[in-house]
Amino acid sequence: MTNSISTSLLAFLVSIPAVASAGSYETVLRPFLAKYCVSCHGPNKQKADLRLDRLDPDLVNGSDADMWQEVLDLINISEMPPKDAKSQPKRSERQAIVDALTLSFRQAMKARRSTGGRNVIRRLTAYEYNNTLRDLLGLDLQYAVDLPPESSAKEGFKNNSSVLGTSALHIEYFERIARSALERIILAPTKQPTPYFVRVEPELAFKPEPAPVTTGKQTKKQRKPKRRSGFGYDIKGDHFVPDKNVKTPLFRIDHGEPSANGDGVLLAGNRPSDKVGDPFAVDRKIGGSQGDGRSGYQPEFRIEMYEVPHDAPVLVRIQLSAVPGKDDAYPRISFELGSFRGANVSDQKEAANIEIRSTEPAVYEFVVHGANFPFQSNKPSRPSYFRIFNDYRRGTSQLTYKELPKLNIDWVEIKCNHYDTWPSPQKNAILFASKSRNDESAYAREVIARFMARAYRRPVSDAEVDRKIALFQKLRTQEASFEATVISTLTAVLCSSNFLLISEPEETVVANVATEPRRLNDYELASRLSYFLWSSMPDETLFKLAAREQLHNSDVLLTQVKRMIADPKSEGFSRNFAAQWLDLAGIHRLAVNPEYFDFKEKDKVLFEQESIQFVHQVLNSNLSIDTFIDSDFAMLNPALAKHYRISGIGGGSFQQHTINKEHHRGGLMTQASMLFGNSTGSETHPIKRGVWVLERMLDDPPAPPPPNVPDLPEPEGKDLANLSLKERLVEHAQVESCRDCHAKIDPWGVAFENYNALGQWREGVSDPLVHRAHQAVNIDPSTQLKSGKRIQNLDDLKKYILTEKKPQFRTAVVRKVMAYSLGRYLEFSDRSAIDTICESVEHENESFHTLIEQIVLSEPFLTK
Amino acid sequence: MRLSFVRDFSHLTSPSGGRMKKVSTMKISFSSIDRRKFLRGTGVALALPWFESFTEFANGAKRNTDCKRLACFYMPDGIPVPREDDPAFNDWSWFPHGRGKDFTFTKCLEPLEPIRDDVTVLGGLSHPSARSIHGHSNADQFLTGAPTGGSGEYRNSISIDQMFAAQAGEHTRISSLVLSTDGGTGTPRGAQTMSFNRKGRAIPAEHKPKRIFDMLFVKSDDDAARRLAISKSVLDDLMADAQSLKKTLSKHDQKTLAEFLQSVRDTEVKVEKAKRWMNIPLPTVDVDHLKLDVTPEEPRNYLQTMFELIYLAFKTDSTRVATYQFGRENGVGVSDYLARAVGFNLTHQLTHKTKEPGGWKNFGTYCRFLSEEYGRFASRLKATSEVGGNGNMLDNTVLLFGSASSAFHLSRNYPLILVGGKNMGFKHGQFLKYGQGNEKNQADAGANSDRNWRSEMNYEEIPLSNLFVTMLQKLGVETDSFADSTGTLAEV
Repeated sequence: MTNSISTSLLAFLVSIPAVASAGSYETVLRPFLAKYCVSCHGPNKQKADLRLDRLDPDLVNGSDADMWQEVLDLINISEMPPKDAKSQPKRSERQAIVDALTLSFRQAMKARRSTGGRNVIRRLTAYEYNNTLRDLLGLDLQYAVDLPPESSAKEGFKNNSSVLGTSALHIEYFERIARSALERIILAPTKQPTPYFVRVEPELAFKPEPAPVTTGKQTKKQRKPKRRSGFGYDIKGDHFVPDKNVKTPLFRIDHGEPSANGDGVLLAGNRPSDKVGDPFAVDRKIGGSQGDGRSGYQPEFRIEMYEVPHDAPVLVRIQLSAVPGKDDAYPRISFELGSFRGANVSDQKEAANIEIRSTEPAVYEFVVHGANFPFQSNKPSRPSYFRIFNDYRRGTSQLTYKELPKLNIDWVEIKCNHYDTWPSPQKNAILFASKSRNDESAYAREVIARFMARAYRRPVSDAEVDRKIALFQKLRTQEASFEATVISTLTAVLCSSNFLLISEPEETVVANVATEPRRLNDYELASRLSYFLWSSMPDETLFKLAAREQLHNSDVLLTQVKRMIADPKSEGFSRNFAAQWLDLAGIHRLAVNPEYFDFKEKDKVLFEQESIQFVHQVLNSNLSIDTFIDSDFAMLNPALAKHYRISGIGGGSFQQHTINKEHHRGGLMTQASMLFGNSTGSETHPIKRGVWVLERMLDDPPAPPPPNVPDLPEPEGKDLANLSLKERLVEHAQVESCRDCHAKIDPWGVAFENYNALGQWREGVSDPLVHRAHQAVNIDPSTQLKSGKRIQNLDDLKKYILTEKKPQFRTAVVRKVMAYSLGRYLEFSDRSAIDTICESVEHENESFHTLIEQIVLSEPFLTK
Repeated sequence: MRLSFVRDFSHLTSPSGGRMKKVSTMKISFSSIDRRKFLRGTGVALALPWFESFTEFANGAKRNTDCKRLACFYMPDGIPVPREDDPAFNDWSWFPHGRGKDFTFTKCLEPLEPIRDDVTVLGGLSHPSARSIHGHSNADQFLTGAPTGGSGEYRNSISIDQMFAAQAGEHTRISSLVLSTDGGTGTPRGAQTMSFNRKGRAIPAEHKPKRIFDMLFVKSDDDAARRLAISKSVLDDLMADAQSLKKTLSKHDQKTLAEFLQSVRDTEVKVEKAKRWMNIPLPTVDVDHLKLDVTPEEPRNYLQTMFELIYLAFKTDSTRVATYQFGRENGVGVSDYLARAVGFNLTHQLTHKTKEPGGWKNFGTYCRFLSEEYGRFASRLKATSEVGGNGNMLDNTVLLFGSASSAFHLSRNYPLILVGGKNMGFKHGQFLKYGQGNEKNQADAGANSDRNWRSEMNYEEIPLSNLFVTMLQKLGVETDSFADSTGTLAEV
């Protein structure tokens, strides 16, 4: 049975529950059993207490599914019929029965997990929960970090209803998280906290008379007026701290030089020492921060403050300009909040990272929340700090110190406890101004009803509000204050199934009868859209359109989709869809084997970022889905460019860079996330890579191996270590039926042999990036697919996918995005919708936007 | 020019530079009290006066005479089993040499020598339903014995710790501690927890020492009684919400909601329990020696911290039941870093590299590290006298350490170490080899691949559940069967 037949058969049979489908049982199974098995496992003999002619062929409702699985396994690995049996099945017979049984098991599995093609109720995923609280409360904190780690569904999507379990532990966490977030907002003091303010003019450091050095390890060398690289200065004048006893803040400059007009400090980008023209080539690290993992000379500017109000919004204002470098290289400002945890032990996190192009001084302003940063020092004597540096990396470009772009910083202002209004806007949003403010129960009703509607993402009924008011009244006698009672009541709202579950209930009681599919109402549609494209709750615009019952209008829907994609929150789609579609978690499941590679574990984050940024680029620029297979650009930053050995890449964060053929990059399949995630951490793993391509790019997952067949053997001992990869694959596929399956998988993975376990390019007979002891023997990406198609290398394979396999690839992408958008497995009833979407996408030059728009307009998306 | 941002847009930035450094995630502080108060704590109040009052209150078991505890530990991926003719056999075979009372530990288990008289090593036991299933699928059923299989439909059943907790949990603030290095539940056949409830559903494991500590010892609020009453009202409200939603759902959706309802009910049980404990002050413990934000990236410290938290939980009688899964099978997850404690890279890889020069020794060295920590934990219990009672804590605590596979992921002849519980009648100082057939009891010794995971059984083993029944009985649970048990083990 060929693959294409089984696929189409499958399509027809998924909705038929009774399997070892009547047809295949009569035509394939029964004759085989009669011929080879029943003499030992039949009416006359029942070896191993097994009678096959009596097994119930219904794998869904029958009770013999486990037994059939055992039969399948034993036949599959050629253990049955036993070697000494008189008549042995031909290879083709064996294969036919294995295929038939495998197909039946797949169908049975689908039948069991079927939702009847209907969209289903599901819990918010941890990341959706986090984003929803962020948008609901207007406070961007990490709410979900303590929730138990979540697993993903068979097809890789975490938002699949079937994997989103809820346990008592979840409920406890939900309660605690909600309560503490509400307490933080509502129980804030009535009096506005006093700001903690610092203003710094960095040129003070360069005045003829250096200000006296106040702290840190001072050396005589450092005190010399020349060649100073790092200093600390008390900020005597421009600061205000709430408590007079708090130590005076100070600022430090490390490896900065005065700006041309003497009015600020210049911070160059990070670079290794180039001695020539580098004023700091000698005074390495003196007086500077140490041990923070930055390499080379990192000019930095740091403001150290003691006993800061760390759990509050922080306003930062900076006046600065760019001093562009050679070849239009622009500086980037990176801005961090951190604190000291001990002598030379510090911890910080980046708050912003922006390229600066303006050569005219301009004021930049940010507000961040201190709680999101390791901003609280562990002792009053240890400072918290703000740190600025120029995150332009020389990377693989060849800029000298003089040619590097520099940041010119005029002044910096920091204001902790920054509140434009008091009470905070978050508190005002919950406890808003109202005429009935003095009538406690009337006001409680207003507050709770308004909050509920946003939390439930729909209008709430009077009965629902009544019940919460009853709770409020009950709690009011136990709680100390009105505010405390509101907190407890709203906590209940945030733990309610109406908040935690995305549900699309019927308007009336349904009493256990199957309901007919119906259109979603506009509020349900708003939620479906926002969780699809933002991984979060709808915003005011969507709610308004829902209230006016306009959202379901195709034109309105399309406008909204465009708006939502353009919104920064669409990063939620790129991040979560990419992570799940491409299995980016695989990167973290594996560790790089240091015996093979010099590699910093933490650099694995780059692999993940590249793929997310790539998908985001396709989304943002409305590129063709073909881009996923091949592209003339890559999303790179200097560190990743270095990893890939692509020269000439400087700059800061990930950016689109045009690449050409000798870079051997383009599309998702040449990204380290896939190549590393499907390696062993030491060597390539063609089977895993092959399965990844089939599963993720072609949506044609190979049949699962007979349970638990051994992995591709590690090269054990000297003999095996000398086997070539292909020989090891042969070794692996000793059993005939394995070989058949692997002929469908392995060639796809072999085509990637030019990419080592870390996704770096290699060719010829050795891999220069691997330590010598572990040399690969021969690198040969040429292969032949099961279809007979010969493939020379990965470029060939990409071409093949984009030509002959194009419809299958297109359908695969549509199915993946659709399954993600619906939060359930796709079923046979979705088929016609998928076909229609595919046609539109093909018609619109494979546009990714078209794909998303057409999914949004499809029946499965619009109905319940 | 003026740019204004109101949101924290750190998520929009790239991971270059700043994002790549050690980023500590700031958590919302759940406790409204100053934790430094606890950090300054003066050590466990050994008199534990609060306990006496509680025993009267709860009319529960008298701790000093009738306190029984159980802790189970799981090591993934099996153990070194070199062949007898292998030079490494003498030193690095996991199982001891000899049998009965007359046995010698190899270097793998040597750290247990000082407590030899409290230790029993067992061989020849396994779960029958797993014997032909690849070891990597079997952590799920190590404590349940359920036929979870290697593929297809998945169903599990209650684990031994939860059987015991149903009874012992009545006497303590926390019914049981469920811990693992990877946390959560994992996936079917890729469990990241050892514990399963009476419905066979995985109980998510905690993996952050700080969270575990807070759960055990940090009071969540100043007036717990009020808080609990409020929680109860809130939970009632959640039930009402879910019940009313249920009426309007399709049949399929109702099933999903049923799980939600069940979790709310389970939470209610916990709140009810907490209510009974609300007047009993939390024990104060000294945690100056603990680094509660430690992660598996510092493996030895992490493992010691987890053991210490269990020790403290037992010592303060906060719970009498604990499970801790050192790692998930198949080198998946952060637990694979544990071997770094002894200078290796990846734990699972050690099991695959036994035939390389020094391979058995390397794998054995890792096993020795686990034995050291396990032994340290047991010795600590032994060195602590039972509050108000005779004997030491170890005499009232039975520890089970094991893996669901032995030689190269072969799911037979489980490596098992029972420690402690003398007051319950556990007999020790022995190496018990069960089963019939090959006297060497080393199925597939020296295997250098896992190709034989479903090889023919040449050796008849005894169901591991027989040990579980024996343990449960000694722990005072009235039962004569567990999962697929066929009897008890008289020698234990």
